Amino acid sequence: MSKDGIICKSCGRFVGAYERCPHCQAKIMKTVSLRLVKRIVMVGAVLGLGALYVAAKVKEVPKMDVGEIQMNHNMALVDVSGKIVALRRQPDRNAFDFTLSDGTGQLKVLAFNRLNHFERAFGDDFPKLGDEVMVRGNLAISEKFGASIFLSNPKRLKILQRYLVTEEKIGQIGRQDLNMVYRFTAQVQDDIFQNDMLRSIPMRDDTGTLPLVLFKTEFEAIPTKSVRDALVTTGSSLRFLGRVSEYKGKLQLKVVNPGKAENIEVLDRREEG
Amino acid sequence: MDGWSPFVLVTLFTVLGTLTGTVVSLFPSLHVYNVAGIALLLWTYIQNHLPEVALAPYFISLVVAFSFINTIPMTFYGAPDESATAVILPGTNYLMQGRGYEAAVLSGVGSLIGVVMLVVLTPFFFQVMPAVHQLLSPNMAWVLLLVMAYMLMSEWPKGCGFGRTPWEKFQNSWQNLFAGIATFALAGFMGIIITTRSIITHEMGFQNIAPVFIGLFAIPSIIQNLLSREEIPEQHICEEVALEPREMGKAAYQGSIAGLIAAYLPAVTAGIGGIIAGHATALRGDVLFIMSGGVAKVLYYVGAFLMLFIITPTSPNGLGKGGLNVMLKPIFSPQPGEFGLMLAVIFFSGCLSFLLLLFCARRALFFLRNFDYHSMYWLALVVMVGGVSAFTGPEGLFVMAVATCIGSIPVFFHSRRSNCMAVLLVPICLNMAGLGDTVANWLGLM
Repeated sequence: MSKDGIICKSCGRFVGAYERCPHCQAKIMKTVSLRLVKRIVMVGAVLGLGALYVAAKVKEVPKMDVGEIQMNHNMALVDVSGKIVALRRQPDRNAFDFTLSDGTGQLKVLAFNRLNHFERAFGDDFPKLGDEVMVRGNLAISEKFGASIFLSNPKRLKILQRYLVTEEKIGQIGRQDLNMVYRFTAQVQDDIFQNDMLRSIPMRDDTGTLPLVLFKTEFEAIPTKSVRDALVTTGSSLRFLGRVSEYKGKLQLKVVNPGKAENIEVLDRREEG
Repeated sequence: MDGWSPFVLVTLFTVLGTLTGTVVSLFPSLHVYNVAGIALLLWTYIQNHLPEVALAPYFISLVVAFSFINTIPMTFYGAPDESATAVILPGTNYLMQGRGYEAAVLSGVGSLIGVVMLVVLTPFFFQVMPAVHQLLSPNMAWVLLLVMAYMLMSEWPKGCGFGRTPWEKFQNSWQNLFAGIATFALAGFMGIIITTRSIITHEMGFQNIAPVFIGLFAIPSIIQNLLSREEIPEQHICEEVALEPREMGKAAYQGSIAGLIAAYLPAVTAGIGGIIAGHATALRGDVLFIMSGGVAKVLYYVGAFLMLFIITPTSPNGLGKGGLNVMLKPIFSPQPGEFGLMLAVIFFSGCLSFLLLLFCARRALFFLRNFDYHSMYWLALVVMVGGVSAFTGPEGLFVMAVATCIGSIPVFFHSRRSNCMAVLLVPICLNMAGLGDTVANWLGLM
């Protein structure tokens, strides 16, 4: 193998990659000019990085349906749109999370140590249950927790459409309304089921009947006594904000945040007996 | 395989993983995490036909084999990956003295010591590590900042100040230091771009960092070796290796510190851990250097994954980190009580890998005697570029090209290649400090 460029022709000693002999300071002519390679590398690094930066800025983030998410999409930056079907704020942890549903599946969106940041950015427009939102983030897919996105910046959460709660008839509710929130006006019927853990109260309007399920903690969270009494009195008429859910394949209603007085009110309470 | 006992399945897939790891590790510049990514993709297509109990043993033994066998390309073909930068200098020295086989065996002995250390350190993992994690994790940004500062400040000028003019003398003396800082800054900036708004197709999101690492480490190594015209002298296959227990103890000490630092801290590799451990312990010697490198590799590659199984009340999700953890997360989560099984798999695979190392080292010498090693690098280059193109498309090739330019700076300016790890260190440190979004916002990447 040729020793050109790695052996100094002046003193005959090994110089390796040096362009000037460290022993006698003679200039070493390289077959492949290292000086040229160094310049190419430096210029290429700087210009290439600049081009990469521009490319990253102009790249369109792809939109994905939740149902399309596969294992190979792990860590991919995507936009996902959907309806908020569950929302939880944890002020003690400065965190919040919500579940996004787009009809093809559900995606968990989490923000740790960021609640203050988002509340400052959104103010009164903080996302609410039922809002249509778009979230941008890197997908985190794990066997334990499924697919989720971690939100860290309010700029990556956009509210597309505010949810306006509408009145709905019980008889119109179907499986397509799962997790939706409506305002219902209905009467308490007979056959209230009650045990240590929950109450299942049949609620009827002029179109149909569905059970309203309240766990013991939820029932006790209702601030107004008259409402609590009305819920256990047959014939009482109530207006409430209810979410459509299901249990073992059967539809049921759940009061949204029963601790808020405006979410459930008595219209007409019948006396017991 | 439905009626097979778990013992037979685990043993079978451990052997399979070891053999797969052995074959891929012989390939110069190919990193096990790239191979694991491809293996994972294939696994998802056939997972319904494979027992679930086989997954972890297969991949962990893949990594065990890599940590043993990749000594061969590093020593004989001169293709160090980032974790071996601190190891290869004495190893290359041995190669040029015709003692390359001895260097490979020493590294293998070091790796075996590393496997034993994983067993010995088990009480430490369960009793001390969770408490250390609780203490350090809220302050991890500061720890990483310290590591980065140390990396930059500990580099020393390698020039001799030769030149005719003061400017030439200054250039000659200090160019490698400035090249190191430039590498760090460029790699860090690249890391912020890639982690905030990668241009790689979302269909291959789980491999969007692969072109970066191939460009930063693999391709520059290949180019360096293709440009090299150095002849490898005749190698001697030794029958014995002279080792003193004292030397092995020192290697275990230094290598364990390096490996544990790398296994625990995010984005810190065995190369960086080796620099810190080497300065901290101030131990000298070629044999010690090579053996401790073997210890560090096992503790880093294998230990980082094994820590996933340290499930305690204070660490309910384990302490694992590293490329393999990230890759396997979508399809695998550790269960309490599996640590012992994984340790057994590592021990078995380690012993098998050592024997395979001896076998493969002799075959590698045969190859060196009869073929020009440059042909292997040309093949490696074609495979790397082809692989990146196939999986990540033209965007991946572009990212790889930019990363290659950055990764070539330390090669041609004689600075540390560890500085390329800024591609992960900088964004991770910024995110842990809560500044990642602020910086990305300034850059208009949000």
